Amino acid sequence: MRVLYFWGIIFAMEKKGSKHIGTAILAVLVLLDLTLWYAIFSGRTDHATRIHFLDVGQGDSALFTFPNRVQMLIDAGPPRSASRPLSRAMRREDRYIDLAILTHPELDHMGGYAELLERYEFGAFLWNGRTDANAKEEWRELTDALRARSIPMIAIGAGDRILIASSTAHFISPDRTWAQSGAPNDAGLVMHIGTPNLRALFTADIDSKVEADLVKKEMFGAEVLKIAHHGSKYSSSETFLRAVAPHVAVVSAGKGNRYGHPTQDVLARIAHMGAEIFRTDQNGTVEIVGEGTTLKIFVGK
Amino acid sequence: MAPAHVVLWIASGILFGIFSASIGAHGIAFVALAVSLCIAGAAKKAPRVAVIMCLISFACGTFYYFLFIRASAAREVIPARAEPFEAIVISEPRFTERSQRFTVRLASPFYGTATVVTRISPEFAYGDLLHITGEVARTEEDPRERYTVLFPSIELVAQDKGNVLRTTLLRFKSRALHEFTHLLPHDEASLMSGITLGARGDFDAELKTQMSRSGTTHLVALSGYNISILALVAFGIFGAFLKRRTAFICVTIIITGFVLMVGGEASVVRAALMGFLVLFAREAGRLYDVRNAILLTALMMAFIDPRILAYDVGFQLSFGSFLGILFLETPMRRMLCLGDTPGILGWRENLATTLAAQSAVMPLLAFTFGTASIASFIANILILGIMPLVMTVGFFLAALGMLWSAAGFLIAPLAGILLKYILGVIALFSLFYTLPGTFFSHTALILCYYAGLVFLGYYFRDGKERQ
Repeated sequence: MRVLYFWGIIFAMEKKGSKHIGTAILAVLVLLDLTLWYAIFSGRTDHATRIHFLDVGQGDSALFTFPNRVQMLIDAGPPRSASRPLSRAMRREDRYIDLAILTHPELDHMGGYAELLERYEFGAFLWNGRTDANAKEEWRELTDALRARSIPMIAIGAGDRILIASSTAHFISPDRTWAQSGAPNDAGLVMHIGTPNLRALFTADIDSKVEADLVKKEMFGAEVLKIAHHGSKYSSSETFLRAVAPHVAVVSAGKGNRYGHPTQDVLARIAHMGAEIFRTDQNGTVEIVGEGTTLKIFVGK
Repeated sequence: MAPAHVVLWIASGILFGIFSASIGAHGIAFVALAVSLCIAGAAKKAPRVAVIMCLISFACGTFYYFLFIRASAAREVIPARAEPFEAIVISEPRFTERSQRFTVRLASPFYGTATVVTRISPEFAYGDLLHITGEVARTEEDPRERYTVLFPSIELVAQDKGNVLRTTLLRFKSRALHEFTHLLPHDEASLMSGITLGARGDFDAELKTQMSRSGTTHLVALSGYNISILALVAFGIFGAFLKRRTAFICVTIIITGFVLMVGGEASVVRAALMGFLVLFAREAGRLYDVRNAILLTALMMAFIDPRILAYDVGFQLSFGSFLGILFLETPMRRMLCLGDTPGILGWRENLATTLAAQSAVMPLLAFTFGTASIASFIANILILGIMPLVMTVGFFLAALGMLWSAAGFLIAPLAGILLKYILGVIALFSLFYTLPGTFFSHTALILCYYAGLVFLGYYFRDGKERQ
């Protein structure tokens, strides 16, 4: 289609050179029309659930697309990192993201939002309610930018739910205690999303203390698990992994990062569970598509 | 001797003098110049007056360089160790993956400029007044960046303290860039921003590598090409309903504004000055000599800041490639038996131009960017043909998008396809063989290379048909 269009333009240019300006203009208009119809019909019409774990370097960012094509961005990675992989994950002309979620205001999760706000429109901004970011300036700039664009900021925590058609995003942490923890990572939003195609668990940067608490409280199986804290050895305990029982585990970490994420311990624990491991530092952006009851995984996009 | 020759001898003398002084080899260079000129004089290849004029101008150039350096150093008042100071950002920040870098002008009681390298966020902008606490360190490598402040603590005191005109133009530029990012996907938007406005802030590391490997980085560096297209469009518009002289003034104003807006890179200033000289010569009704125009442009730029000759790679690249096009294009055409027709989408013309420009700056490219691609010739031929179209579409996209966003949406697919095609070519040719930069690390090799080029230019010169 694009090649056709391109050659059409060249044809039009050649024609312009001779005296067929009318034909040339007509050709351009017809092609423009075709492009528009192509854009309309090329939209995805399936009812799949898609998760893109974006390759943002050392940080977290994932785009969750529900079967009815509502889009939710969970974190935005470090500054100026998410725009390119996100633009590749979304449709070309799409500039609207329904929900922006910030699991906790730390730079490797929040930094990318500043740039994304310049490029995309957001329906609402949901975060864990903490304001003691480790990067005060950036947090102030982010909240200013949100206010300037009249994007509602909603603080959420354990017990809150978002219903999207036949899917549910269920927030299971932080409860009152963890929300006030001295360690900002403990207060990260943990979210269990169930769609007709798959269940996924997003665990922010929580460590094994919070995990132990969650395991005690409720049961939450998931086929797809975002490994907590980029694969730090203080997270993803064996008990927790067993409770979740994922088929696919995704680690979001930067190539050659100075923290040594993901650690061998965690990788061994996941492997022991029998789950498939995908890593953004090795695989690039990882796309998981749930269609019917099958999971398809694409890497390196 | 004709006035044009006087200009030639004096200008080259001064430029050579400045260049030798900036690399600290003015003594040897003077002796070498004197000897070679005397030989040329003795062999009656150069008039005696010209030899004397050239040597005197060489001395003047050297003197001017040292005068400039001393004078600017004498006025500097730099904060002592870790003393806090206030400064205004006078450049647009350049971003790398982990840091941003910009130039600041120190506020009184201090005087001078310094380069600040800091964390990637918060992002600073032209005209920000900053309160900086950090050590101002002296660097020796580049005399234009004599002081750097590495990762200081910075407090934003006020905004919009820069030049009002430039602030307004930059605001206009950022609105145009916003249109691109809004209407096009990430990579396409970066490419369009680079091609039309020379903005390279959003370039992803992967794309940068691909462009450097395929030898297409110059597409996103503003050059004479962009200026000439802008000038043509502006002349077309103003010339339609204004007198020639008024149109000339309007175009000059627009080009000056454009140069200010895009940050005054060497290649842009060179192109703008060249364009201006051409226009001016036409207005004055004088015969226009390209060689002298280039020399005068270089002289003017060197007068404003003599350090660019030896230390501004952009300046060297733009002059080198321009000289290459001027002296090697016809020989290249002859050598490859290309004939005088432009070919489909001007491929013959582009091939000759690209070969001429690239071969003139090949060692410099290899030295600066580490790679100089052979495949770049083909990549450039495939791309350059549609560049005017891309630029025109880009300007329309920005302008229409600002006025009425639905119109921008209609043009966006067209721009998207053109850009996608360019990106495809870049990605494809970045995969091919690259000439390692180390090949040109030996001075002798570089000299041999240029001797070869000069021979080639001479052998296939005008008026001599290939056997």
